[in-house]
Amino acid sequence: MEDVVAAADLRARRPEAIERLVRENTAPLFHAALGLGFRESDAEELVQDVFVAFLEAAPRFEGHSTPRTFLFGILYNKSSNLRRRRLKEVSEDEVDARYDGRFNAWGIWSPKPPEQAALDSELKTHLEECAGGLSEDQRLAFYLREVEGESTDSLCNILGVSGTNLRVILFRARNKLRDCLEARWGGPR
Amino acid sequence: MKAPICRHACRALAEGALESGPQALFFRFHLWYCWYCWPYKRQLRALGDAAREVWGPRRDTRAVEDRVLAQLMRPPS
Repeated sequence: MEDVVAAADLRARRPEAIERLVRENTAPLFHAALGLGFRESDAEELVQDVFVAFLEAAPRFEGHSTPRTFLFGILYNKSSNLRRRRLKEVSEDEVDARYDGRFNAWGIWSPKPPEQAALDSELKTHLEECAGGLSEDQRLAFYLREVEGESTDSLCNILGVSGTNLRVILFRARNKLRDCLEARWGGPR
Repeated sequence: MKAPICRHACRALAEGALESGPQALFFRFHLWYCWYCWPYKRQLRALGDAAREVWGPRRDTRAVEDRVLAQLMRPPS
């Protein structure tokens, strides 16, 4: 009953309903975007796009699924689009960052790799690199299951797949990561 | 070589298929005692722990919420 009322409030675009929606769901969406490998600025842009898309689709939202599931479904679609858009920029940013990083504080070319690389923990580097090899659905499914503890039903709704497909996605995600980590540093011990 | 039951049980574990279903109890019991499945089970558990360690720490998103709300509440131009 409460969900139906909340859905009606959101369809009517009541400010208090929108504020509640944003306050309750920004953190999980933002952290999921970071978990998908986006930088903070991109993650914030993504979260904003998700809420804008939600409000545009609000007249069709009838409260059959929770707003959270609906929002994560939008995040899944938007993240694929943003990743495609960022693909060129990322490769250019990496070249620029590497180039800049090879000059020391006096502006002299340094043969050493950038110090930033040494600051990152080995685990974080390897896990994030390996996660980069996963497809969008595999990465989101793995993140939502392991970090957010989402249920199977909720994951199926978010990704728009059947339970059988979700099992395959999780199996491939976990084994790709396991194989990748094993190859790099002897695997998770 | 692992016995076929190990292959099926480890696959079910990676699929997240041990929550319910007719074979879940059987596989859970197998994974509980099987010496050969133990390293795989340990690796998947470590993978989940690593993911929570890397992506789990919560950041304060109040400023992000405020910016999102400001954008959503902006009157249409």
